[in-house]
Amino acid sequence: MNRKVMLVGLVVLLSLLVIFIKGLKLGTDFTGGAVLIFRFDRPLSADEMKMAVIILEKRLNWTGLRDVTVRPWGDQHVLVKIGGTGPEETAFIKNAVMRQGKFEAVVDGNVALLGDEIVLTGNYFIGHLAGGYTWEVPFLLKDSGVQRFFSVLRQKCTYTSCPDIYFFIDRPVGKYLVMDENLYESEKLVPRTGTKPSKDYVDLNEVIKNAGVKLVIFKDGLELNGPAIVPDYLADKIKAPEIRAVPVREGRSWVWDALNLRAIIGIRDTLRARILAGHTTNELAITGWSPTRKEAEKEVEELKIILSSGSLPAAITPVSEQSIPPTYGRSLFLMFMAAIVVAAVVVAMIIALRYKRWEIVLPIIGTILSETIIVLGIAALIGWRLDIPSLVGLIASIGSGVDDQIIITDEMLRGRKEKKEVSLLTKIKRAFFVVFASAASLAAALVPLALTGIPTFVGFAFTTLMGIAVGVLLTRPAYADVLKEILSRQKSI
Amino acid sequence: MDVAAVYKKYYRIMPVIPVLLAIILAAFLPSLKLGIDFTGGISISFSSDKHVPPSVIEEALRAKGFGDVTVTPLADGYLVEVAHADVPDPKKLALEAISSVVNMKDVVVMEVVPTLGSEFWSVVSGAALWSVILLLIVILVAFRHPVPIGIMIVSALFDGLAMLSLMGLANIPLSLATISIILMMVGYSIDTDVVASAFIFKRKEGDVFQRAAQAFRTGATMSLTSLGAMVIIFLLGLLTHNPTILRIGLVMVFGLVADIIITWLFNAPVLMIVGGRNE
Repeated sequence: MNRKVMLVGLVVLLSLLVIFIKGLKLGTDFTGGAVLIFRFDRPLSADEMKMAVIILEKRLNWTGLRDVTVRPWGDQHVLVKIGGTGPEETAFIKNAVMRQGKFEAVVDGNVALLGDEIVLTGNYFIGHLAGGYTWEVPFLLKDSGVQRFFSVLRQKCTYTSCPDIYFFIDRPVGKYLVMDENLYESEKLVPRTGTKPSKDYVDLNEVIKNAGVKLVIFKDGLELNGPAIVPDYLADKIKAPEIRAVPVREGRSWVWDALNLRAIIGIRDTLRARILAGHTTNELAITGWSPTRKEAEKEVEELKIILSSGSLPAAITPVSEQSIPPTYGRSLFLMFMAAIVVAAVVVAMIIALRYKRWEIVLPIIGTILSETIIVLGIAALIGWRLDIPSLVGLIASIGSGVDDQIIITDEMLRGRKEKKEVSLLTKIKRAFFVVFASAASLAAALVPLALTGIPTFVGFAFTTLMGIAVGVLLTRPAYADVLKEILSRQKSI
Repeated sequence: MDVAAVYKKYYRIMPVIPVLLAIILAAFLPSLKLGIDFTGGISISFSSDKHVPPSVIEEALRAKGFGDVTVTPLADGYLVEVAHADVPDPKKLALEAISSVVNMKDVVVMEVVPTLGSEFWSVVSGAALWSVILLLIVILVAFRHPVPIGIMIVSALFDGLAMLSLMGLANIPLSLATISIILMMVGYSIDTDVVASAFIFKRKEGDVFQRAAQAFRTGATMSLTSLGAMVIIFLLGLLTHNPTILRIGLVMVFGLVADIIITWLFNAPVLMIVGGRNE
């Protein structure tokens, strides 16, 4: 069997394997969800944009949403895609993104630092120590911050110890924190790192004091006169003017999520000594220890986010929003799949009507199927999210991609009929000139669109151009060989 | 149908048809509107089991202060498009207005703030310009002879005109999706022109009308398969009551029909006339 055909067969099989194993990833058009575009009030530098994307991703992940992607568009916009949610949640998401992100460092119930008083230096250090890794995130305090921070600490520290510093983002001061008996028992000891189990714990009462919330134990028929934070399973059993339902997550301290607690930091002996001696400094660092380098890096990144979270590089406003309900999207996808099959069948029928010879029709159909499968395989491999424009591009390719095969076929059939001594090779070469020219013109039309980064264009261009590339490089040459083989066999008979 | 005979008889007057069509189409060009992707605005499509005249929905929206209201009935629902309003949450306001007069299910909402819309427009029109320039370069490099280049440009212009004008006629606004379709169709129009010029113009064997007939056989098959796929997209849009897909399918069909007309009623005869002069 011809080498090119074998190659095509191999790639098709691999593609099917990839599709089967990895599955096709679907965009919000089919999973439902929201696509939001936000605009910064000034263009950002590459570094600023990188930081902004990380901050937004973290903010959205912290709200418990899973399927979140944040992508920059140009130097002034970000695209936020959240899959699987409905239109109601988009308001919630907008708030999470645009939230001020008010950072507060609280010591013994007193606010010691505010977000705009901290400046990250951008450095961090990770080193080996005691079978693991020690890490350090240095930062600077602005003058106003220095004053308040050290005066609070001077009051609170004793010669033997200093209280912990609690970092909050959007501390729910003055709100009610509701827990039922079970939750209270399990949260009485709060892990220092937010995840359970932990090596170190602090008393729940300490956490509550620093958060400035009022603890309420749930009883049936509970009614409150102020905003409340409740576990999600109690949300409809409580009456209050404003309720924020926080899900209980496996391996995570509920209290951390409920209070927007981000870190509990201890004060080192050396710093304590300086505080008590009346010294101040504007250079501080947060240090910690992790068993692996990966964990150390993760902690460093988290801390950097927390410390800079109060400040996105510039103010941000929503400028576009698209929401699609999940049920609608799913049925749409099924119909699209059906449409692809129908399109392939229709095209096959037209080809069959024209050429009427199975030995020509079958290879053409084989080419269509191969190209479609390979494009989907590539999409699955790179995790490309298929949206409406992508699938429309795919269907269009099915109809138009076959153009090349028709040209090749007619060219070669004509050669035979005329019994001219123009070799089959020349015929193929001539036909392929057309193939390349049409591929180049389509690429010329679509590449500038794809380069704009606008999702509609990118999705559409991807499948269309992939289809062309696969066709020109792989399947159409193979088809030409197959046809040559078939026709020359018939010649000799 | 003996294509060669038809050509032999009518090839000199055939070009008149597309020229007339072009003039008629041009009349509809001014009715083309920019969609909310570029002007900003809110688009809400939904299905409903209640049937009210579109004017009822329009009134409800105008009462809330929305301007530029268009309500298009779909098979089992509606597509509502309004201009952006200067209130804190225009989307919510619009949804309230609509739900006060009709039930809403499977609501798909799209909101674009005008500043983003104009940003999209400047980016997209720039990209479209580049597409055209690159396309021109490809044609010039690949074909190098003024005649095939000429007919390809004619094709591209006619196809573009047809799609834009018919969009204006059918009240389909220019959007991100439709612009990509238009550029794709212009790119695809090359295929049929290459076949036409290769057969009729470049080759010398046999009678020019026979060659045109052969070109037509190939070209017609090509266009038919494309048409098949594009009609499927249009039908998909109908079945799913998805206005975006419906509009895309329609624009594709417009472009394809226009391409068939211009290639075989104008370009082919022109090639025959020019080719005839050279023989």
